[in-house]
Amino acid sequence: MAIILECQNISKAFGGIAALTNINLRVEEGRILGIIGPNGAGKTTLFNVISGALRPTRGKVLFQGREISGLGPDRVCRLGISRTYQLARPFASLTALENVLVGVCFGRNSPPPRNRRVDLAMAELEFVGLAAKADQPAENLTLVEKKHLEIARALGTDPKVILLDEVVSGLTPSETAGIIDTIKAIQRRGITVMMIEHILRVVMELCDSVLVLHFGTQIAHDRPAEVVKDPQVIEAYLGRGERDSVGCRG
Amino acid sequence: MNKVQHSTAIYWSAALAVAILAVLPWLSVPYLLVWIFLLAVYLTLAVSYDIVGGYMGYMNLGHSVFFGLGAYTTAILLNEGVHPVLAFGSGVVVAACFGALVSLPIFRLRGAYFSLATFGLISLMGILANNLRNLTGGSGGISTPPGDHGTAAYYLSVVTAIATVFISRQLARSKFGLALFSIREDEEAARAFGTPTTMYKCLALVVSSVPASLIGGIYVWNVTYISPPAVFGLEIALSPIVMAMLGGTGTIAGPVIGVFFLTLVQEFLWTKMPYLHLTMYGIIMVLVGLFMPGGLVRTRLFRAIRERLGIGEKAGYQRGN
Repeated sequence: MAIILECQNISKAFGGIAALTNINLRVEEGRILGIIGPNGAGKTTLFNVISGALRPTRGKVLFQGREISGLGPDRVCRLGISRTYQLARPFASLTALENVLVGVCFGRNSPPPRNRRVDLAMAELEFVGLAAKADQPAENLTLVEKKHLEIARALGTDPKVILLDEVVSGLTPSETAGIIDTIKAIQRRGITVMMIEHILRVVMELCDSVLVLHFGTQIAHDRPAEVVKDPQVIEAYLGRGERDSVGCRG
Repeated sequence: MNKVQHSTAIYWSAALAVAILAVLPWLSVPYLLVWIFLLAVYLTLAVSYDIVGGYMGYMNLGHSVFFGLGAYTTAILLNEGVHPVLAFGSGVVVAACFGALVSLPIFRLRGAYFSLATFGLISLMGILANNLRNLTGGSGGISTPPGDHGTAAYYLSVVTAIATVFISRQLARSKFGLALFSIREDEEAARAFGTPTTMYKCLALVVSSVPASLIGGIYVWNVTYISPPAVFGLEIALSPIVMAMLGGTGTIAGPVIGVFFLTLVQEFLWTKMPYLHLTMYGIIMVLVGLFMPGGLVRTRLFRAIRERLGIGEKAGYQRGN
């Protein structure tokens, strides 16, 4: 499997605060990578560095073999990496269709011709099940619809890698199941998925491998079944006492 | 009547209005012509302001700088014997270049800081106009050659105003407009989805400078005298913006309605309270902010009227595009 994305010794500091320290990561194309860790571990910062919103203090991000660190979010998007946001932030007064259109018009490798734009955008809305709400202002959508719109907007840019930031937070179990199906469908399209997630059930079900961050450092990177048995991970999540008494978790 | 018939009615009304406007000069109503000329000036300024202020969300309080630059450039060239059309064109070029240059530093600011900085540009231009006496005639102002072109100026101004509204409408329905809206809604997210925000901010400013500077040139050609307070003053700076916001910023119809509404109100008040212009604007802005933050076009009353008449297009990407 080809390595589509690579982080080499990525560190990011904000003044004196080391948000990320020496992250080394190689993501295989077509896989789903989960990123877990306690709050404040640096997960969203890692996404910000990969997507170009932040420049790493040290280290490089390589996409398909070429360095993209510091290119700027719009160029990185056009190269093929797009993202969603933890707190859904669609373009509020624009319609769902217009939200996806922004990505379609500006975020693709090569801008589509005028007569294709709406079709491409509607295709993504249909993919996430929002076709009926295409002309609704985004601010009128429910939370789960906004989350789906975030995904549609990211897919509109025809990405090769999609960064999903806590996309199921705040959703009911049935809504979560819907998102899980959508993510599986995204993988079937050949898109590599990196997802930050807190809910271990989702991570276990979807991810081919899991990266664990803690205070900005990576403490594990392995298959999900192995990661949950790792003593360091258990200690980070549950505290020292649990480390000795937890067996296999499902 | 159903919606289609309503739309036809609107188009016929518009055609009628245009026909009336076309024949007015022959009807011996000079005051009305002057009044419509001023209306056209404000309309052009308000609509072109709203491209940056409303569509893109950057309140450019210094928009009238383009008006003044167009006016002064045109005046200087007219006095050198340059043909009016060439003079107007030069005014546009000067203003557009100024817009392109100033966009580099000014768009590093956001929100209120941006508005204050652009507002400061007006004072800067006013001071320059006052002090570059050899070029601009200083505080005494500048006179341009008179001539029998009142009717031509009237037509030019009306055409410019209508063209500006048309440009604004086409922009709102296009990819360009989509970029501006995305910047307004969430500039960081817009960038994250590929919008080249720096380029579009500069382009929007330059596009907005063209009608403003053109109408500035036509203005000085018609009134044959301008001075720093007339073109770089508070009145001309704030009126179009107040009108755009009163009518409804960020929409196609909003600035148009705001201009008509306020110009009519002004006409009425002018005889009663001629010195309270700026005070009135201030009061209006506070009232709009308190009771109608979206402007007239977003009030329920207006929406109801629109429903009954079957008109009204949202400023947004049109599927036909």
